[in-house]
Order: sequence, then C-alpha cells, then structure tokens
Amino acid sequence: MANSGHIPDFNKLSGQMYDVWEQSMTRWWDEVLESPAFLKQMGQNLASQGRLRSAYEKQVDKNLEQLHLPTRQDMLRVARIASLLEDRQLQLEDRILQLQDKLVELEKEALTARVEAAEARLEMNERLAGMESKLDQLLAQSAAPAKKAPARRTRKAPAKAAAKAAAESPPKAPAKAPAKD
Amino acid sequence: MQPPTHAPDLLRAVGDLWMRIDGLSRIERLRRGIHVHSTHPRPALGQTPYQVVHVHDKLQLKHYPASVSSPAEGSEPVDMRPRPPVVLVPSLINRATILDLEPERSLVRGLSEKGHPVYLVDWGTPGPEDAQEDVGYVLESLLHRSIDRACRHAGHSQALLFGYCMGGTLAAMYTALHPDRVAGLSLLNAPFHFEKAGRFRDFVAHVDVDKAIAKDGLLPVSMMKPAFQLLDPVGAITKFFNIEKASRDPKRLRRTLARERWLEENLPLPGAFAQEFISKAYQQDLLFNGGWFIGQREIRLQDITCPVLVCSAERDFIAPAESAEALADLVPHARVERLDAGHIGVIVGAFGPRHFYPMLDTWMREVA
Repeated sequence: MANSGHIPDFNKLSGQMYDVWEQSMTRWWDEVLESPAFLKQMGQNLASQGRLRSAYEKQVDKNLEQLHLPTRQDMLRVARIASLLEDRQLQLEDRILQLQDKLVELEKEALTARVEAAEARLEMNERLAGMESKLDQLLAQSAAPAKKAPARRTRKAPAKAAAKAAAESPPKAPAKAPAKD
Repeated sequence: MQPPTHAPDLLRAVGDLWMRIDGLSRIERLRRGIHVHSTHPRPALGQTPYQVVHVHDKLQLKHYPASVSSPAEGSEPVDMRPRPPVVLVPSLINRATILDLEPERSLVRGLSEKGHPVYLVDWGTPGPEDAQEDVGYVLESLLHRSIDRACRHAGHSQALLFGYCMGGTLAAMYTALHPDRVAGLSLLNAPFHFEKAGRFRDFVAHVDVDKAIAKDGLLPVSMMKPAFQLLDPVGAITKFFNIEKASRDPKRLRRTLARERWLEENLPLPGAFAQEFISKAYQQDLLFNGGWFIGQREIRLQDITCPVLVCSAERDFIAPAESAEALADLVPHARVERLDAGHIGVIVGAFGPRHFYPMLDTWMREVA
C-alpha cells in the first residue's frame, strides 16, 4: 500500500525533532546567558572559586612550612629573583646595544671627517700644484728676457746706499736684561 | 571445515537500518565525532622553520626569513628590495601557533613567501613567578624589546606591526606609546570599544576582579575556559558533527584537529595583567574613553599617526565587528575592512591564503 501524504515519515521526523531541539536549546541558552541574574551569579562563582583556590594554596604553604619544607612562596621568590636578574641582564644588553649604536655613529662621523680631510688635502695639493706651475711659468718668463738681454745692468746702487746710511747712523742701545726674581 | 563465505552480516544490517532513521543517524554521527575527537592524535603545529633571535623570560622572538618563491609565468615580478620587519603579535591567552597552524594555512609562511621578514612574538606559558607582570611590563618591557630586536635584526629603524585579537589591542596600545617605532599597524579582530564587546564582556562585567584573581597568582585556564565555552554552548556539541564529517577525508580531519588542538591549548594569564586588563578594558572601557595610564603616560589611541588597517569579521563572537571598528572613531585615517568570516576563520580557514594574506601584503607594500 502506497504512503498517503497524511502519514508522517518517521525517519525524517526524528531528524526534524533534533533540529527543533537544537534551535530551542540555542534560544534557551541565549536567554540564560543574557539574563543579568545568571551573569551576576557566574561572576560571584568565579570570585568564590578564586578565593577558595587562594585559601587552599595558603593552607598548603602553612603545612609545608610546619614540616620545614620549602613552600611554593619560597620557590616563587627564587624564580622571581632569577627573572629580575634576567631583566637586569637585558637592561645591560640594551645599554650595550645603545653604546654600539653610538659607536657606529661615531665611526660614521670619523669616516666622514676622514673623507672630508682627504678631500681637503687633495684640494690643497691641487692648489699647490697650480701655484707651483704658476711659479714655474713666472720663472720661465723671468728667465726668458734675461737670455734675450744679457747686457742689462743689475740693481746694485740701492744696496750700496743702504750700507752707507747704516754706517753713518748712531749705534742702538743694548737690549734690557730680564729682571731677576 | 571451512567457514561459510557468504554468512549474513547481521551487525551491518542492523547498522544500516539504524542509520536510515535520520534522528538516530545523527546520534550515531555525534558518537563517532566524539570518538574521533577523543582518540585521534593531534597533529603537530607550527611547522614552518624559524630561528629564535631574542629570548626574554618565557617569550621567544621567532624569525621567519623572507623567502620569495619563483613567480608564476606572466605574473608581476616580486619586489626584492629589503623590507621592514613584520612583527606579529598574537593574544596572550592562546598559543602563537594560531599564526602558523599548518603549512597551507599559515600567516607567517604566507607573508614570508611574499618577501617580508617575519618576526613572531611567542609569549610562552607564564609561570607563577610571572604573576606580577602587568600590562605596563608586557608593553614596555616584553613587546618593546621584541620590536627593538626585530628592527635591529632586520636593519630597519621601524617595524610593521600585525596584531591578532588581544594581541591587536596590545599592538595598538604600543603604537600609541611609541609612534616613532611603528611604520604601519594592521589589526585583525582586535577589540577596542569594550562596551560593545558582546557576550564575553557581559560575563566579566560582573566579576569582582580583585577577589576572583589573585595578584600574586595566575588566572588559570580552568577559570577562563568555561567563559569561552559559554560564548557558544550549543556549538560545543555540534562541532562533533563537523569532526565526524571531516573524518572521511584525512587532510580535512588533520585540519579540523589542528584547529581543535589550538582551541584546547589555552594559556594562563599573569594575575596582575588579567586584573588590569579586565578591569580597565572590559569593565571601565578606558581604552576607548581615555584614562588608562602606563606609569606616568596615558594611552591615547588618538596619538597613532602611522597608517592603520583595521580588519573585523562579520561573525565574530569574541571581538565583534562594532568593537574592533571603533578604533576608526579615534584614528580617522584608519582603513576599515569587514571580512566575511568568523573570529579564527580568517587565519585558519581558506579565506586567509585566498584573500587575507594577499590583502595584507599589498597594504604593507603600500605603506612601507
């Protein structure tokens, strides 16, 4: 006998039931999680959980202390000291890196200064070379007319006159001796 | 005597009958999913090779060198100039492996293969001796030094920061305090306006943090986990259907279990950090409203001057899009992108390699 449209398909119905359950659960959870009463209670639970945990740890510490055994606090203190030492080591590392940066900067500056000095020296050399060549040219120029006119008289008369004037002038007073202490 | 070769398989017949009933088949799938979840070994995470370039207490700074794969024929040539370091900052309450979950879905690999020198801040697991580490210590000592070392290692004066979830919040706080060290800030699902932080904010709003969290202890995983599970209570059951479905394909099962492993491995928080963060961010919303001081300095997100990319996810329960995008109210030059994904889907889903990693790469090349 063929299935009429009114008879439900139980196989699919159970799947639909699951879907309905999932949707209704999601809605219900949404309502619960948005309710201020629930959230407040959850917050209080968390706080009491935290207090309980802290009280438990303190109690364990006390017991261990009475047994003369190192407590969690003792070990934490040692670990904390190690952390602080590491922090200090890293601070030193920072300082070294900063100094290294400065050193690099100084090296750069020194290099720049060296390059500038070398450039200045080159410039000076060039200028000196220029001056030398000019002097050579002048010498060459001055030597050329001398060859052309060797019979020209040299200037000796003014030197002779100066020697005569020096002989006629009175002698100068001797320099004062430095005062003794 | 030989056994009959065509003996009727009664068990199989009953099983077939059972599975034909839709409701029962779902129960069976749920049972199988739970079985696979509880018995299947978890895959290894964080397989991309790296080098540790800085260690500070439990923190490790992992370097993934830029390794450009040969470009496909016809594609644009890759810019090979040395790039500024990309520092990835994950959340403190989860393992950093979320950013390197598996080879095909790994942000560190995705970025390093595009030519970025990647540095991952792996916070490590805090011990009770780290209980007094507060937000100031995390920002000014742990994160500041990591960014400094990454910059030195890469030979640049500034870094590109990427922060995910709480790591994004911390990265933005750091950028506000040290704008000169950051060339660009990219954020993914990082909450800023905590009044709009959804159900998680509702949970912690009523908690007396001074009583619930000891300043000289840790906020244990056992206290945090129920809060996260309550964000999606029905999802904690329906996930087994996905596991059962994935179990038919080994690659898909590996991927699903890698995600499960990461979700299972929460980390405790130092008590001082948890107290300060829950009280000032979630309860008083001081990051958005102002008035959060680190030492003598106030954290003013308005002081962020570098280019900012804010990515939020459409279906994020933990850091809703409204809470993440609120940063753009304080930093008007921020670019906002709303992605069609969930809180972790952008990182571990197919969306990451297809859309998110290329988008991040393009943005980073635009800004630095």
